[in-house]
Amino acid sequence: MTFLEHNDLVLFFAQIAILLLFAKVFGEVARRLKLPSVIGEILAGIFLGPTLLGSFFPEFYNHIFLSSESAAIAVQGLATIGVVLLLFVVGSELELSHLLKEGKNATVISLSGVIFPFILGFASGWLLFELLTNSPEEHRLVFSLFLGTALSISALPVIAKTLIDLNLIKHRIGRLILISAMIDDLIGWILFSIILGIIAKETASIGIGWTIAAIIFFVIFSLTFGKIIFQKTFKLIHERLHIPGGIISFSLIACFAAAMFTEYIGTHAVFGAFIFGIAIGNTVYFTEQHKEMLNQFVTNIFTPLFFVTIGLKINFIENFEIVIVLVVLIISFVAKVIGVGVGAHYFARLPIRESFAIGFGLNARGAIGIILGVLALQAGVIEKQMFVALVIMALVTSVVSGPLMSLVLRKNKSKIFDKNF
Amino acid sequence: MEKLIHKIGTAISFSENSEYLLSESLRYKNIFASELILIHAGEKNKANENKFQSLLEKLSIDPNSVKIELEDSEPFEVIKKKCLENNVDLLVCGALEKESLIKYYTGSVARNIMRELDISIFVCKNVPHTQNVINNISVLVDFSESGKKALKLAYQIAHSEKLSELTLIREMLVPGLSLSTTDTGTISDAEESRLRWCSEEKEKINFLLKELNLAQMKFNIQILYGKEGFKTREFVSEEGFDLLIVAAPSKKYKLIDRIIKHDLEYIFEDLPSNILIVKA
Repeated sequence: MTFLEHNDLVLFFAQIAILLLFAKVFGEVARRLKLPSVIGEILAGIFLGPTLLGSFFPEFYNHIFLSSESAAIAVQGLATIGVVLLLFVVGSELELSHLLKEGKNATVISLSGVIFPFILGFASGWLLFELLTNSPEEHRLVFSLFLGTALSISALPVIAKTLIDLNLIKHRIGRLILISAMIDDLIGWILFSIILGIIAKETASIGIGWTIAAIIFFVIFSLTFGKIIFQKTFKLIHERLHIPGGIISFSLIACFAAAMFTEYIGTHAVFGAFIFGIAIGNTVYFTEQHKEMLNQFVTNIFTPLFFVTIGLKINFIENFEIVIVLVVLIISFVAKVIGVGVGAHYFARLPIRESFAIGFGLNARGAIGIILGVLALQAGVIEKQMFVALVIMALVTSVVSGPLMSLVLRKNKSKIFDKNF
Repeated sequence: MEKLIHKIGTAISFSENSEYLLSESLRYKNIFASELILIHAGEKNKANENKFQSLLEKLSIDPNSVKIELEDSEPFEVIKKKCLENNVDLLVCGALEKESLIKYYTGSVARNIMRELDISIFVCKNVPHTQNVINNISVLVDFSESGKKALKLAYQIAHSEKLSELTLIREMLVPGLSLSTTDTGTISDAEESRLRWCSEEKEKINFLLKELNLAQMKFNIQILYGKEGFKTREFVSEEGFDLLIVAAPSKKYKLIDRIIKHDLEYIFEDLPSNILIVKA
């Protein structure tokens, strides 16, 4: 068995302390500027990484972050736990009952928020392949599939916050946006896990056909029988066992087991955590208090570590390609806003302003978009230039989502605000 | 007072709770001055007629004041058909507090009645061991037409039972609220939002009470934040209410609603008290 040596441990704790300190300080500054804290956390990584610290103080940077490979791997492990837990928390907020209740309109809106961006993203990836990446020709299909998926996904945390700020979350339009974002996320993560399955066909423990079958089985089982099993187990824990935090402990065990399973079948650990998050979050014993406790613990410790390590790994200045950034920004706005806007207006029969407001609302990709980019980068689906473009797209769409929704809704605010749910 | 119920049907199976069901039916017959129709899925023969005779005698009911409907077929189909033929607008039936897992998913007669019949339904969960009185009533507030009728019915029943207070429950859950603290939000922001929404809901209920002109009673308004249906079930069960009045769902519940349980399905799954499901 290998252990972390004394020096490795010192560097490991030094890295954690420095990364968390900067992530929290930069994150807090971002919050005060009314920006998502993820912006601050990534900027902290850029500050501490090769982009700034590595360029101006290379000796200090190398000593802290590069001299111990074991410490770096340990930090990476913590960051991976961070992203797995974040996706678990996001999944736990997806209320299946609300998806069921909202029915036709949310389905139409969310499908137009997936299908149109997916087609446009896929077509752009296929036709502009040489412009957007230096990857070999055989990656054209996977790259195009990924771009389609990256444009389809939405970011529930940032959307929820925007809707609360605009006082829309309890109104029909806010509810439609939220439910549609949930469906988009669910479809988006299933698509992404299939893409990862395609990429991992050579290294995965099972073949691609089995991977896809396993993904579909896993989703259906988790959300039906799995949910019933969790419900019964939680009831038992709630009534019979006297374990402090028993429900949270069991949820985390289930989360990591699911992460292990989906990693094993050739997709990614986050996918398992996300799906089990939905199943567990929809049981009655996993209450709002449990969600909040877990959320605080994850978002204050683990998630900042994940985002700050993104900046550590990549030189954002060297890998900034204005053409790629512009192309990604333009197609992301066009795909989501027009796709959702047209779908909501023509198929769900909503007024034009509300339809496009929903489009702007769902356009925010936030932290979820960035996570998708990181996983794609790690899996070799995209290169650093495209990753930087995706991070910028995620941040820009998150920041402008609220103001653009507000602008579009301003003229008929009173009509919208009458329709409570 | 507006007459809200015209014809009451009672599903009688001659089980141990039939007497209790009939006494509850009588209570509502008297409150709403309605007609009473007794329905049984069984052959029209002397034996069944005698059973009805003795049941009516036990409760000192004049046989001429009720109508008896008998038909030998599937109980749910008979009840549905007879309710339709007689324009019944409130059906009284009994149900087990909780079904077995398989029965829950396949649907018992009582659960099928709750989920599928398009009229108001009063479900007695079990025979009381003590005197058959109503001490406290709770109403799950809903702003739909059925919800308004549920409030009016609750008001009339509470008046008739001489209750001093009616408890009004409003449930709410805003998915994504705890997630909103992930990016720019804080816990205090989330808590503040939750409190603001709760007070908005209270205000809306007060407006509704004014609109329905239900002022002559003390109302205890409870806003429950969490899984809709389940929160009410827990609250009603813990507080020991004798009756829960709810508005019927706007669409019929199907198997998918049992798999992805929501709202009233949590209440149907495990009845916390007798329940009156009101359809406008």
